[in-house]
Amino acid sequence: MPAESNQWVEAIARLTALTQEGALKWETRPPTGERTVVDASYYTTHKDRRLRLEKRMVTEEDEYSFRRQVRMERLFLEFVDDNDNSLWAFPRVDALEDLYNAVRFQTAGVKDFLDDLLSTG
Amino acid sequence: MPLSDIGSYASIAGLLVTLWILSDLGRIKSRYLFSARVPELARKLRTHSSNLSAMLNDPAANSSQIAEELAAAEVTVTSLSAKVSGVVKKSATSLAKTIRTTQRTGSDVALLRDTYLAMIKLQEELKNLELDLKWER
Repeated sequence: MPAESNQWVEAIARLTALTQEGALKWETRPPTGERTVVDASYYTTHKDRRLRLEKRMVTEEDEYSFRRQVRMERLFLEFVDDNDNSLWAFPRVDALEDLYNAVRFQTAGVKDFLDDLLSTG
Repeated sequence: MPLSDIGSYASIAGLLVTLWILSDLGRIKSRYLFSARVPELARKLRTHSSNLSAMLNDPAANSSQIAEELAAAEVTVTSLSAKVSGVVKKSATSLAKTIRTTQRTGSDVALLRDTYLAMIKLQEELKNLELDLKWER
């Protein structure tokens, strides 16, 4: 596996761990701009860098036919500026899906809900 | 050239052809096995890592499910390591060992996170290997 690809997998796994440990707080915002976002946009700041995580509908070439195009959902983790303009996007790796699920778990307050529900009986 | 010499050369050539066919058959067999089983095992590994990641949202509450998931993941990874070679085999064998260590130590969150990381790294390696083989065909 190329070392560079390894580096992105490690970085995203680290962000997932920080999210699950509560050290990285994400906030939900309605999508802005022309992007076709599925549900909400998620924002956080880590070491003075703003990060945005979104699931978008995109049109891409079919893997099996270059002439055919398909609509699909893709996850994007990007550095953004103060005006929400994308500065750079992380490469696509499977671990992004786990980060997305951890972010949704945190922003939906699932853990607090479960703790509350189970402690009250 | 005497007929017996021609016969000797022909049998040596025949032996070389047989050895070449045998080695090629081995290559075809391993490629067939790879195409038939490895993508399925890679998908299973993805499910294990995804489940493990979800359980790490609340490790204390999910300790028994984590133990079950690790046991299932070990079976998948051991099966995978028998069907790949080279660097990927090394990673799969090392991951199987990491899973066993994590199982023994119980619910050490740092070890669980290391195991999750090793799982997703192996998935990327498998994806790259599948792409390489696609171009070889």
